[in-house]
Amino acid sequence: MKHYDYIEWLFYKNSMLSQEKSEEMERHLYGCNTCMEIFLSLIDGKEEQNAGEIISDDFISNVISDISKGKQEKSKIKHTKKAFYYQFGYYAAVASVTIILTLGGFYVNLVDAVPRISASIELTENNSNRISDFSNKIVDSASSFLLSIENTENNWRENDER
Amino acid sequence: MERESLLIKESIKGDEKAFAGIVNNYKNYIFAIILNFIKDYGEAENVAQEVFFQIYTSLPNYNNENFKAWIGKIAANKSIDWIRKKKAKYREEAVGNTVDLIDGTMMDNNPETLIVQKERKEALSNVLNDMPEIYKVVIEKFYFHDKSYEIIAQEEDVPVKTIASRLYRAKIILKEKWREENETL
Repeated sequence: MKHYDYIEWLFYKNSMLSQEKSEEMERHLYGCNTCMEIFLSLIDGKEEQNAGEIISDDFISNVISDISKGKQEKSKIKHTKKAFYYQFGYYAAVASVTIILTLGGFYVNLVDAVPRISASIELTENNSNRISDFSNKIVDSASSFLLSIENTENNWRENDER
Repeated sequence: MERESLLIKESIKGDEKAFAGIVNNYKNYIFAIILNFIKDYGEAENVAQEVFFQIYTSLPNYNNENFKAWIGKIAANKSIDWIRKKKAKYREEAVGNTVDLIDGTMMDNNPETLIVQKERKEALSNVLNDMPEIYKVVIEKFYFHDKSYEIIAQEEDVPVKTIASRLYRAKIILKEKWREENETL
C-alpha cells in the first residue's frame, strides 16, 4: 500500500493539492493508521487555540445531553428487544417441544394409536348395546311382572262376582 | 495522565461528570481536527458532538493505547464520513454543478477562519517559493503534477538518483522552514 508522506499531508491540510488528489488521500486516510498518525501530528497548538475560540459555550452540556438521550433510547431499545426475545423464546420453546416429540416418535406412535383408539371406541359401543339389552330385559321383566299382578287381580274379581 | 485514566474509568462506569471532564480537555483538539475537513462552524460543531458521543459509547473498547491519537482518529474518520454522506446526498439530488454545491456546503461563513486559513496557505506557499530553485521545482513536479522520478530526471536532464537526492533534501528543508514559519504565525 502506498502511503503519503509528511509533505503531502502538509499540502493537503493547506488545500494546496487538486480536489482529485485530496479525495484520494481522504479515502486512504480513513483506513491507514500510519498516515493518520502523520496527519494528526500536523494539528498544532495554534489550531487548537483557534478552534477553542469558535466552540459555543454550551458545547459540553450539549454533548452530555446527547449522551443522556442516547442512554434513554438505548434502554427503550432494550425493552423492545426484551419483548421480542420473550416472544421468540416462547416460539423457540414450542418448536423445541415439537422437535423432541417428533424425535421421540410421539407422532409415529400417535399414527399407530389411531386405529387402536377407534377399535376401543367400537368396543365401547358394543358395551353400550349390552347395557341397553340389559335394561330392556329389566323393562320386559318388570312389565311381565306387572301384567301377572294385573291378571291375578282380574281373576280374583271374576271369582268374587261368581 | 493519571487523572485522565481515572476520568476514562469513571466514564466507562457511566459517570457523565467524568466524561464532561474529558470533553473539556479535548474539545479544542477535536474541533481543530474537524475544521480541517468541514469548514462550516455549525456543521463542524454537530460533528464534534457526534464524535464525543461515539467516544463515550466506544470507551469500553478502548485498550489503553494513546488516548489522544485514539480520539483523533475517531474525529478524522467521522469528518470523512460526513463529507462522503454530503457528497452522496448531492449526487443523488443531481442538481446543477455538484462540485460547486459540495464546495458551497463546506465553505465557512465566518471570514475570520477564512483569513486564518488563507494566511497559512500563503505562508506555506512563501516557504516553498523561498526554497532554492532546484528543490522547489522537484517538489512542485513530484507533489503537484504527480510526475515520477524518471520523468522529472528527463525533464531536468539529470540522473534519476540526483532527483531522488534533491527530493530528499527538499523535503527536509521544507519541513524545517515550515516549522520555523509556523511558530511565527
